[in-house]
Formats: sequence, structure tokens, C-alpha cells
Amino acid sequence: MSSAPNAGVVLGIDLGTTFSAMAVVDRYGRPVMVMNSEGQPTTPSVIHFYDRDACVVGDEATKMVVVDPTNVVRFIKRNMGEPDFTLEFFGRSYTPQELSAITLKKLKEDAEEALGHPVTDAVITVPAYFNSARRAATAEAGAIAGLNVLSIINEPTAAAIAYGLDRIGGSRRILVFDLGGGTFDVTLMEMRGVSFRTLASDGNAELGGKDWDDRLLNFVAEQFVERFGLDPRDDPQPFQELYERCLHAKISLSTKPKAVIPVNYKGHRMVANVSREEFEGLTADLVEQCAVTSQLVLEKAGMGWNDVDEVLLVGGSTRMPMIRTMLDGLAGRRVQSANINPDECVALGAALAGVLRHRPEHPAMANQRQALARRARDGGRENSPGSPGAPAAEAPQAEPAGFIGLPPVKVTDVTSHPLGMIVLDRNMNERIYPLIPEATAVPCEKAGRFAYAYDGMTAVRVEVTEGHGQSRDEVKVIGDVVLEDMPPRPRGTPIEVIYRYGLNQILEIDILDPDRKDHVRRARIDLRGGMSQPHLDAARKRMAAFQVS
Amino acid sequence: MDSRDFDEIERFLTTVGKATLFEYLGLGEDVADEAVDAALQKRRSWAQGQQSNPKYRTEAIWLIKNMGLVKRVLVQERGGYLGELQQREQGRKLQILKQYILGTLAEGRLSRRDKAGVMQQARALGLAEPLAQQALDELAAQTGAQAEGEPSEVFVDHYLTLGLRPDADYNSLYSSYRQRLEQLRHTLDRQLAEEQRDALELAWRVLSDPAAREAFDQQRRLVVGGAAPIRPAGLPEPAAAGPIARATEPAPRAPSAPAPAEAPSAPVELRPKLALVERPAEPEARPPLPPPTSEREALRPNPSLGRFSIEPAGTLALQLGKKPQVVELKVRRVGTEAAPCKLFVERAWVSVEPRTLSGPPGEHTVQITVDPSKMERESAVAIITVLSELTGQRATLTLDVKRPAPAPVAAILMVAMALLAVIGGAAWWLSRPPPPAAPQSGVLIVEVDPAAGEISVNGDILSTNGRLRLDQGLRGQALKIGVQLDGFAPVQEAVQVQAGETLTLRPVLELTDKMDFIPPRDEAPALIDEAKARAALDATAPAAAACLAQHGPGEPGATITATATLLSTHEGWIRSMKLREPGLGRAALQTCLRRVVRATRLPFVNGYAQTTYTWTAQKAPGR
Repeated sequence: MSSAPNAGVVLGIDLGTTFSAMAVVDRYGRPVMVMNSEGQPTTPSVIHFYDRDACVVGDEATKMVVVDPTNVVRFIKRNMGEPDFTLEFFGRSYTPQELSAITLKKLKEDAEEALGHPVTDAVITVPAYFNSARRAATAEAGAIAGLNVLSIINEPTAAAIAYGLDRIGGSRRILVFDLGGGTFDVTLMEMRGVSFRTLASDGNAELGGKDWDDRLLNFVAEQFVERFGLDPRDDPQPFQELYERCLHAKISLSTKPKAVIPVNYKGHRMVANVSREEFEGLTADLVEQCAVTSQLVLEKAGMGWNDVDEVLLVGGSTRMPMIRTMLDGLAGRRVQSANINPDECVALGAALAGVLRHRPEHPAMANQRQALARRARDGGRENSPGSPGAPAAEAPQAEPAGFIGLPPVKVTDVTSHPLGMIVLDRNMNERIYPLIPEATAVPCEKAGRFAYAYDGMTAVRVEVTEGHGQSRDEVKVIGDVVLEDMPPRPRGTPIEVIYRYGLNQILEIDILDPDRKDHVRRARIDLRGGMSQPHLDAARKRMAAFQVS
Repeated sequence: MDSRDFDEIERFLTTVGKATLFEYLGLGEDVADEAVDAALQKRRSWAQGQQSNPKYRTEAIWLIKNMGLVKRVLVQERGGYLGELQQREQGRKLQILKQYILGTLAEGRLSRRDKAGVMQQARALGLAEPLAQQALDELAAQTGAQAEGEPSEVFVDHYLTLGLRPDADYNSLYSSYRQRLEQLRHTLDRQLAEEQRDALELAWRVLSDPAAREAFDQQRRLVVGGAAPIRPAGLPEPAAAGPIARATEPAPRAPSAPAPAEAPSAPVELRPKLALVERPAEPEARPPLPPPTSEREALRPNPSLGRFSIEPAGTLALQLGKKPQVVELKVRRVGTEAAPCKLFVERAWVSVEPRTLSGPPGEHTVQITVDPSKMERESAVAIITVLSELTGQRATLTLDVKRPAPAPVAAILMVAMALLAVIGGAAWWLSRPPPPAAPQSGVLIVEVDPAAGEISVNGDILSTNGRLRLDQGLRGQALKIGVQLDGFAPVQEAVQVQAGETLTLRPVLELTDKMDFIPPRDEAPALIDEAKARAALDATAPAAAACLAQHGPGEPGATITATATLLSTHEGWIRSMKLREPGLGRAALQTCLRRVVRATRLPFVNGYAQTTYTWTAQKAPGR
């Protein structure tokens, strides 16, 4: 344990499509939000470039959206992991990882300012339905920003941790319904004792609150077009204004039955009235998608709505009444929704997860061990740990009443997509062989035994696939490992391929010759379209010189 | 260029509704590379700002992700891209053409007109002819459609073309032919009109020639199974009785009397027709058709005796020069017992060698020699019939022969001819088809007032400009002269012109049209060819001037000007005339001018037309 106080604090970062947040765990084991330089717990994930090396992140950038839309970046999380996507500002091109890194850098600097000491270690959350390319891109973003990414955690898992830590004991099943700004996840988790286990997970990495905004915006714009023949979406400034107004209208429709959206374009004015019913009608199919996905998750886990004890609503978009109505309708009863802050719980849970996994020496954890040991020692004399008759004087430190520290919670994530490889079957046709099936607890290691396909092969190629499918076109080939210069072997010689899926959910592959029993090849998956190491280093250097305010 | 890249670009272009990348960026196809860069840069900045705009987001994101591809295609691979575009475009057009061809071949037949239609469609689409022909052949082979001219499969019924019964006489043939030709003038689709005219001409040529008609009848009977054309028994031939010669139709199997040889051909001109004239010259001796062993046998071919096929079959068009031309006809006889075949042709200028094909089954080559110098006219039809007596199988090859008119004489020869002008002229004169040796015929002259209108003699329209002169073959026959002009009361007259006498008729037509045409309210006047209109109206100037001179106001010698605003219907008839100058309201003048104007026709337009015209004249002395 390090001597410096607060050294090695793990920053839990919720890097969202529309908003980002961060939290740390205090010495008592309570997670607290870290305020940014504007004093807000959440920061909009918006970047505005105003010079070659300088940009603004957050509310200030959001204000500039109307004025200078070409140099503003929003919703970049949607393009994370896409290989060819680059944006150009002031003559420089940026990949999505670099742009997310800018947001992370801002958060890091604000945290350092708020906490008063440097921050390096972090845990970043991703939607549960992110595939490995996107996860790797998120990890890269953290690396570029100068953070040491300890692990990548699923957002629903983090939310469940934040929620469930106060309710350790017994067994309960919670359905985490996470509808964020740009992504959607549904995860069924089981809390049994001190272990959190993910039973099933599904989602849509491209469905989010943004789509609700789009529907409202299209609705109003089309009314304008019908009336005046002009489309406010064609001009960037009027479009952004309209977008902001639609955002406000959407938010107010959650509490008020009607909203008013004024539109002003090329001298024509119009006021659109939208009622909640109309809005629900416009977005009915989106809600339907959410319902279908929720049902699917329950089916994957082999459970029904009666097995669900609680529903966690995560993400600001779940404030819309239509979501609650939909869930009530699906469950057939009034769904118990936990009383958590949908915007903050993911960051809080991320911080907790970081400590639980990576900081066993945290004072709060130590306190817990002491408390458990004390209980064991005085096991016969006390009925229950928290009983009023507990000798409070024995506690050396002043603690908040009822506090028992951070329990050693075991958090298990599962894979969201099956991982396999392309093999040739008996008839020399291509087939997908799934090595790690879906919903396998992570970290995991699975091996498969294969054979040489031809006589005299001197090279072996492993193409790693992710996703469901039978043929090459249905799955995504995320990596390619080639082993060359092997002695020619006859057809049928056995060869072993081991997939290792780590905590940070990045794949490692070992190719073994079982007869010779030595490592023939070990490779870290080479993600198609990810940044190469030199590129990464250069980006990191560049980011260090970047001025982010 | 990589077809996957092209497909990707095509997908994108479909979503934004543009045909090519150049169109999308607003660039020309030969734009400089720097301009491409600049345009792409601008587009990229636009795209970056559109990421949150639901209307353009997909487009913007595609652009950002594929900027490298687009740049590469437009700069480095531009040639490949343009070539691929063209190929795809041509492929699409070829698909459309193939659909059209399939539709045309739906009936399983491919006539000449269908083929022309396909070619026209190909032209309209901008496809090269060999490509279209290839597609046509492919699809025709695929669907097994038969091209025109296989007599056992495709049969063009000329009677249907003319809308007649098979026993129609020459008169009705001619009338219906003329009527249908006339109707074609009103067809807006000129291509279709051309094809229909071809069909009509062929029908006329086949049916007007008795020999050709007979062969056609026989063929038709085999196909259609109709009765033989009715021929009133005992009708003397050739038709010397009536003014119009009748086409003779000898019974198919009876040994026939000599049949008249040449029928008048090239019926397009409006000159006084030799239809009124007796058939000249001596009839050609026609070999009689061999009698069948029994009637039933002739109708039902005996398959065990073998069949034959000829190649080419159907109709063969020949364009002759001065020399005789030889056409080779291949006759293939098959079967266990090959029946001998005989060949017949009824033309003096066609000779067939050999005329009998016998012996073991096999292929024979028949030489058909066509001698243009023996042809009476520039175009004629000959039908060569191949007949197998024992089986009754019959196949024909129709030769549609055209020979050029006597070539214009070279300049040097003209000089020589000029020197021998008198002798040469006389010799040339004498070489024309001689007029009949009979006593000189009478002359009939018809001049209609106003100088327009259709003049018909015995039902045949012989003139459409109000002037007619007949000077052949009039020997006292009864003639019914009819004059028809739109807007005027028709006139009928029966006359008889004796041989050697001249009769002049000057019917004056009465104007029945009130000239009160009012154009439709919501229609604007159509544009007409002013030059043509002016030319047509210039032709009225003399008559109108005469009217003004006679009925105009003012003193003798004074100049009278009349400016008229004329309205015509879409057919071109002028049906409204309003004079601008005052003082021209006299009824006689109005009527006179109206008659002139009503007989005039402006060019056809799509709607009513309006024009103005001025006539000037000097008042004549007298009344």
C-alpha cells in the first residue's frame, strides 16, 4: 500500500454519447461524482475546435453548435471502432478515438483540479453490446488521453453495482434497462450474496435518445416544408436552432402533456404544437424495438418477467413516460423501478467496480475485512452485524452510522457476442466454429482442437469472427493471425487454438502445436481498422500538446 | 475499376438520387484534378456539419467514410469509372430493349415490321444496330420465334391488309388500297405509317397482278382453308366489256384461258391511270398446272413420299442493275421416296433452270435469272412456285424486284444526243410504251372553281387539286365525274366522251360552310410553318385579286387592299376570315373571298392556327 494518501485513485468514467461523467470512491467506500470545471457532475460530450491545436469541450462547445456547426463534434461515440471514419478540423484529421480522447483529457484535467492530485488510473464504461472493435477503440482513446485504462466495464453492470451495493445479501434479479443518448442495452443480472453475475445481455449500439429527437425534428421540419416549401434542415444554423428547441420540447414532454416548438427560417415563422400522444405515435416503433430486445434478453436467460425483482432504468432517455408504460405493459404489472439517478449511476458504479477489481488495498475494503473479522470473532455474542448492541467503541475510526465498508463483491461480466473462427469442414466448405459462446463469463479461456486441412501446409491462418452466423458474410471478422514457416505436416495433424478473453474484454490468441507443447504463436488480436501502435504513440504525444479547455 | 467499389458508389448515388459522382458534386466529366479536390473538400466540410442532421446524416457519414474511395475514383480511376458507367448504362438500355423484344416476340412471330420497330426502339435508346440485332437474334432463337417468310408458319393475309373478302374485284381492291393510303396521311406516327404503307403496297402488288394473286390465293387456301374465290361462270376474259378491266381468276386446277400478264403497277401517282385502259399486249402463255391424281390427294400431302424445303423462302427483295441477275434457290428433298418437284414462274423476265427436280433425295440448286431489260416497269413481283405433284406440297419464293429507271445520260452523251436531237428524240419517244393502236381516245378536262378539290372518275380519285385531264382510253364509256371539296357542296356529273372529242367541265362549287369557326376558349393558337402557310396563301393571290377586282369597292383603277385574319382548324382548312379594312363588307366580295380561302389549306398543326394575309388588287373597270 502506498504511503501517499489518495494515490492510485481510480477514476470511474462514463463516456456517453451525449453526456460524460466521472466519479471516485472516497475512503469510506462511497462513490461520489467529481465535478468538472464548470461545477457540473455531467459534461456534454461535445467538442468545438476553434484553432489548430485548441478546442473546447462541454457546455461551451454546445453553445457554439449553432454558430459554427462544421467545427463541432457530437455523438462521436457512435462512430467508435469504425475503421475509415476521420474528421478534419483546421487541416488535421482525427479518428474517433482521438476525439473521444479529447473528451477524456478534459475529464482527467478537471478531476485533477477537483481532487487536487494527479489522476492516471481509470475505468471506462462501454455499452454491454459493444463489440470488441469498439471496446478496443475506447481503450485506445483512454490511452491516447494519457490514462491507464485498468478495465473496460459494461455500463449496465456498473449501474447494477452502484445500485446493489447497499443491498448485499439474498438473491435478487435485476433487469438493467439502459437507454442512453446513442446506445441501448438490456442486461439481466443476478445478485447472489456478494457476487454479481450477468445472465444475459442484448441491445442496439445504434439506438438512443438521439433517435427520439430526430423523429420530433423531422416531424416539425416536414410540417414547415408542407407549409412554406422550404426545409430548415438544409441550412446548418436554422437546423441547429431547431434541434435545440426539439431537445427542450422532448424533455418537457416527459412532464407536460404538450410542447410548443417555434420554427423560424428565411423569414417564415411557424409554431408547431406537439402533444405527448403525437410524440408517442411518432416514436412508437422505437419503443417497440426496446420492448422486443427486453423480451429477447429474458428468453436468452430462460426467465420470465416474474423472475425479475427490480428494473433499473439507466440513462436520461428513460425519463420518458412511454418507456415506463412499455415496461409496465411487458411485465404485466407495475414495475418496481429503483430510485437511482439515471445520469450518474453508471459513473458511480464504474468507480466502485474499479476499486473492487483493482484496489484490494483500498481503505474501505480493508475496513470491510476488519469488520468481517470482528464479526467472526464476536460471532457467538452478536446476532447480527448491524444490531444496535454492537460495541461501537471498538471501531477505531469515526464512521458514518451503519457503514460496513466495501464488501468484496465479485463482479462477472459476460461476452456479448460469440467469438469463433473460420474453419473448413469435411467438404472443404467454410464454416464458422464458435469457440467462446455468448454470455460466457469473462475472463475466460477456451481452446479448440483443429486439424491441418491440406498436406504439406506450412502456414496456418486463424480468422477470428465475432457475431452470430454460419458464413463469412454474416459475421464480422475482427482479426487475423497468420502463422508461417512451419514444417510441412500431413493433412489431419492436430493443432490447438486457444482464445483468451480478458477483463478488458480484449482477445488473445494462442496457437499451439499439441505434440511439441511449446508456444508456436501468441498474438494479441489485431483489430481490423484499429490504430497501430506507432500511430497510437504519435496520437498520444499530440494529445499531450493539445490544449483542451 | 473494382466492381465492388462501383457497386458501393452506385448504392450511395441511388440514395441521394443522382446518376453519377460528377453530377453529385456538380462537376463536369473532364474537370481538372484540383477542382475535384476543392469540391471534395467543400463537400467534406458540409458533411462534417451534418452528422446530427437526420435528413443528411447517412449521406454525410458515407461521404466521410468513403472520401478516400471517391477521391481515388474521380482522380486516378476516372477513366475506369466513366467506362464502367457507360457499360452499365448500355447494359440497362440493352435490358430495356430486350424487354421490348420479348414483348414483340410474345406472339411467336417476328415480322419485318416488328424488326423495324425493334430497330427503331434501339435507335431511340441510342444503342448500336449490331448490338440490337444480336440481342434480337439471341432472343428470337431462345423463344423460338419464327421470322417472317417461312411460309409454313407465318402468313400475311393481303386481303386482311386491304380489308376485303377474297372474292373482291379489281375495283374494290384499288379503292380500298387508295383509301387506306389516304388514311395514312392522318397518322401522326410516321414510322408506323411507313410500315403500313409498305404492307399496303405489297398487298396491292400481289393482289393486282392476277398471276401473283392466284398463287397467293392458293397459298392462302392451304393456310387459311377458305373457299376458292368465286368466279361467276362464263365471264368472258379479258375484260373488254366494262370500263374497268376485271382481274381474272381462273379456277385453280382447270386449264385456264390465257391470263392477262402485266397489271399496272406503281399506283402511287395520280396521273390518269391505265386502270381505265384495256389490258394491252398479248397474254403470256402460262403452263397449266398438272392435274392431281385425285382431288383428295392434292389436298392432303402424302408424307411417306417425302418433303422438300427451299431456301431462301418467303420474299426476296432484289435491286437490279442493267445486267441480269442470278438468284440461287436451294431445294432440299428428303424422304424415303423422293417425289419429283417442278418449278413454275409466270414472268417473261424470269427464267428458272432447271424446271424439274427429280432423282434421289438431296439438295438441288436452281438458277433463277432475272433480266431487268425485259421488265416493263421499274418494279414488279414474280412468284416462283415449287410444287411436288405427288404430295401436293407447295412452296413459293416471291421476288420483289426493282430496277432503276433509265439512267440520266452523261453530259457527253447529252451533247451527242443534242446533235442527234431530232432522231434521238423520236427514237426515245418511240421507245415509250406505245399507246393503244385503237382509234384515238377522247379528252376530258375538268376545271373546278375554286381550284381545289378531289375529282373522282367512276369512284376513283384521280386528282386532288381541282384540275384533271384524261386523254387515254376514252371511247364513249359512261363516266361519273364527282367533285368533292371540304366546305363546299359536292357535285356529280355523268358524261360520255366519244373517241376523238374533247369535253371540258367547269363545275362551280357552292360554299356551304358559314366560315364562323370559333376556336376553343382555353387553347392557344398552334405554331405553324409560316413559310408554308405563306406559300399556300400565295397560291390564292390570283383568285383573291380577281375577287377584289370584281367586287371590291372604290373607283376603277383604285388599289384595294384586303388584310384578313385567318383561322384554320387542325386539319388546315381555313374556316374563319375577318377582314380588317372597312368597306369590304359587300356580300359578293365576302363570298368570293371566302370561297378562295376556304379551298386553301394551311400546314397541319396540333390545334387551330392563326395567320394574317394581305391581298392587293386594282379595281377593275365595269360593274
